[in-house]
Amino acid sequence: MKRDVMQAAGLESYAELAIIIFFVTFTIISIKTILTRRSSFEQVSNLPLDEGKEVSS
Amino acid sequence: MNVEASSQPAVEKVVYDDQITRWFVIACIAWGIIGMLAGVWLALELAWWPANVSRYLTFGRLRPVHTDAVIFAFAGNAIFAAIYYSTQRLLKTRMLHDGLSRFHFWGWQSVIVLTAITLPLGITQGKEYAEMEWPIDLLITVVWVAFAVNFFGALWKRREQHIYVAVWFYIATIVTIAVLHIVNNLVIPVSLTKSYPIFSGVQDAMVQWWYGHNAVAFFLTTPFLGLMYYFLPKAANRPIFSYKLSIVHFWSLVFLYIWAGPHHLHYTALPEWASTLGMAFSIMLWMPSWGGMINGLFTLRGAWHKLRDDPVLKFFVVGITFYGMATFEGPMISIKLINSLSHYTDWTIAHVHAGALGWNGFMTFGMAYWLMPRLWKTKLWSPRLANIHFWIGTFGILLYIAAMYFSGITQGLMWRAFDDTGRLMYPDFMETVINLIPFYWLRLVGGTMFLIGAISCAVNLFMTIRNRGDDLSDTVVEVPAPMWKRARRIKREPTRNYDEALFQLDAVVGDGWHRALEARTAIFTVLTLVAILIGTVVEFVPTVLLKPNVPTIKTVQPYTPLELEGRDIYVREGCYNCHSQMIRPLRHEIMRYGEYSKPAESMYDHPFQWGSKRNGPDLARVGGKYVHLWHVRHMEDPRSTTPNSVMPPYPWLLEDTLDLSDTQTKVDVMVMLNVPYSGASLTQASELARTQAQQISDEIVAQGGPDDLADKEIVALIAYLQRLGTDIFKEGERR
Repeated sequence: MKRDVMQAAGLESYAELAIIIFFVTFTIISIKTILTRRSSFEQVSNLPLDEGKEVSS
Repeated sequence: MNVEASSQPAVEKVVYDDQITRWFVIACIAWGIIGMLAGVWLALELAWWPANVSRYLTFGRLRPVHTDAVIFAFAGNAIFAAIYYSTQRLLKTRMLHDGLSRFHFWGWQSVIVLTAITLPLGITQGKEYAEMEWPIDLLITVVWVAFAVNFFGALWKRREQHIYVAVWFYIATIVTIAVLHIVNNLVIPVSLTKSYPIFSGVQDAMVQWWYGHNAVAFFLTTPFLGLMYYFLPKAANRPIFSYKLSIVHFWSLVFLYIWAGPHHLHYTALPEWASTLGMAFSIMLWMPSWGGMINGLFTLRGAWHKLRDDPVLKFFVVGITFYGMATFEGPMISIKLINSLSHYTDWTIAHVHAGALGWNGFMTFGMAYWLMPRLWKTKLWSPRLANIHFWIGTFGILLYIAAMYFSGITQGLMWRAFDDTGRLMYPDFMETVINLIPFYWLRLVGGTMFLIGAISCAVNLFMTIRNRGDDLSDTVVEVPAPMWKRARRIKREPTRNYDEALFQLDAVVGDGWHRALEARTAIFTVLTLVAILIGTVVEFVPTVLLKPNVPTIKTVQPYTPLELEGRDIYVREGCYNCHSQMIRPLRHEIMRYGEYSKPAESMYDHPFQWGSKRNGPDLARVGGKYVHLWHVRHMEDPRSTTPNSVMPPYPWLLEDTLDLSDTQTKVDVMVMLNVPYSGASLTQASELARTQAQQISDEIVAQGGPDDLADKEIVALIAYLQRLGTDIFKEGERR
């Protein structure tokens, strides 16, 4: 019965399309991230440790 | 060039609002204890049914109180504490407006109080983790919008150009929860306390579990990852292990999570392609989740010795480890074959609590212990008590989940066991329940240990506040003035040639495209929204909009007005918390319950009532299985018909008068929702209901039952139960 539903709706391509969209985007993000210089993230990754110099109000 | 001036950059003063974080921390621990106490009481009710002491505290009504309290009150307030504390410091600005922060706090606490009052009263939408009725949903929307304005306003006026990874997770949370909440709560009100969702049956199931799973993803995972990415480096005093990994972690989680919902509906009447898609993406989720876990644990490299004395890091490490366990187990039980065993059993409960107690609970407690001395400017009252909390909590979780694994796998195997002659080995459902009772007691012990730990945290919090510092005024810091903002405001000269254009572009993206993106919050937020919407649209459009996905069955007709009233009683009492209405196309299920459920059978069910857990048997084909009198006796005292039953008694159904004042409105709303009512139902719904009630009452009398039930709630419930699953066996047009 479920197969009938799927065939009648003709939706097989949705799943394939979805996976293609996902993989293309994910691959682009991953490659770009890996190729970025590690040093360029240094300042950003230290942000939690730098909350400004505490002064009395 | 004036070298001296440039070497001494200007500074600006920032005043952080710490009061709002203090309030959220207190609310988090206080509500946490109440939510966990409800959980412990529920555990007792399953082990020992007399604990169902009142109609307001039956398992069916109390279970949503527990789940909503721990999700929205405990975890919710924890998230807000984390967001208000860390966002201000990461962006080096106060929130947009103190009034919005306070409105957010009091609005959210009002939502919690209203939920805690209405759910025991039986005022519910009947959808898991979205039980709150529409007026509360509206309040949630208003509060969430205020929160979003406050948060994005802080982003807009920030002094730090780049947005740290924790804040991305907060952005994803705010945007996605808004989408989920609105779509899953689209209802048409019948009255102030009753509504019907616009979706029905298979579509409602799809929407509900897209919501339900992503509540886990975007309420219990992404904000807690934000919490981890901020508070773990703070507690360990070193930056996160790999910032690159955090970028991949973020985008892959945001892309993948939104697809995973249908794994809650394997082997149901959901189209198979949707459930396979959900499974595939769930398995893919394993990798980014473990990427996050590794990033968290590796941050401690070289600092593991700190674990010896620092309770905060202990909580974080065990919390992150449970995140790793739960995110391995989740993909595993989303595989259809394993899911066929685990679904509807206590295995799911074990999985959920590994995540909720281990990940959410321990990350929250870790954060709370780190914040207490800083927010109240004193020492933590008792680090020793915090250590005891850690150990009692850890053993509590282990005992809890071990008991539930044993219980779940035992019951799953018993349900599907066949003897040598090919018949069910345990055809009586009660046989599979009796075996679980010892595990339920063990779970009670584990849960109680975790609760005691939470109470010790409250004591520590209370005493720390008592010993607070003299000056609790807001923290003031000096930060470099944001030169980048000024640079951005300078109007760019039009470029005269190609080289100049390239130089300008390089100024924007020279530090890497992602950093450029991070600096542009609006684009970043839109991209996040696009990421979650892709999965949503691809899964939804076919299921919700394309008719052929739900082939109709001619003999399946709308409920009669009395059955509709009976169904509302079923929803009110929260029967779906223990009984499914979905027979899977598996041999043992068909032998136990009858023909498997078809999508069209629930097409008029607003909301669907497929359920997710079987503390009792499936009811999809209970119609006609017993005589009316059996149901009367069963509701009055379940043990009189089913020895050893763990179900609470419902004697008030035999005493309370059936309220038919809204029946016509209910039918009218159903008509608005395209349910094909016709004839007398359109104008004389209450009269029709009374006639059918009298007929059922007469039949009860004929069966030797009491003669005073014609105007009682029980007849409506019986009318509904006797109708369940019978339509497809009827010849031709019905009624």
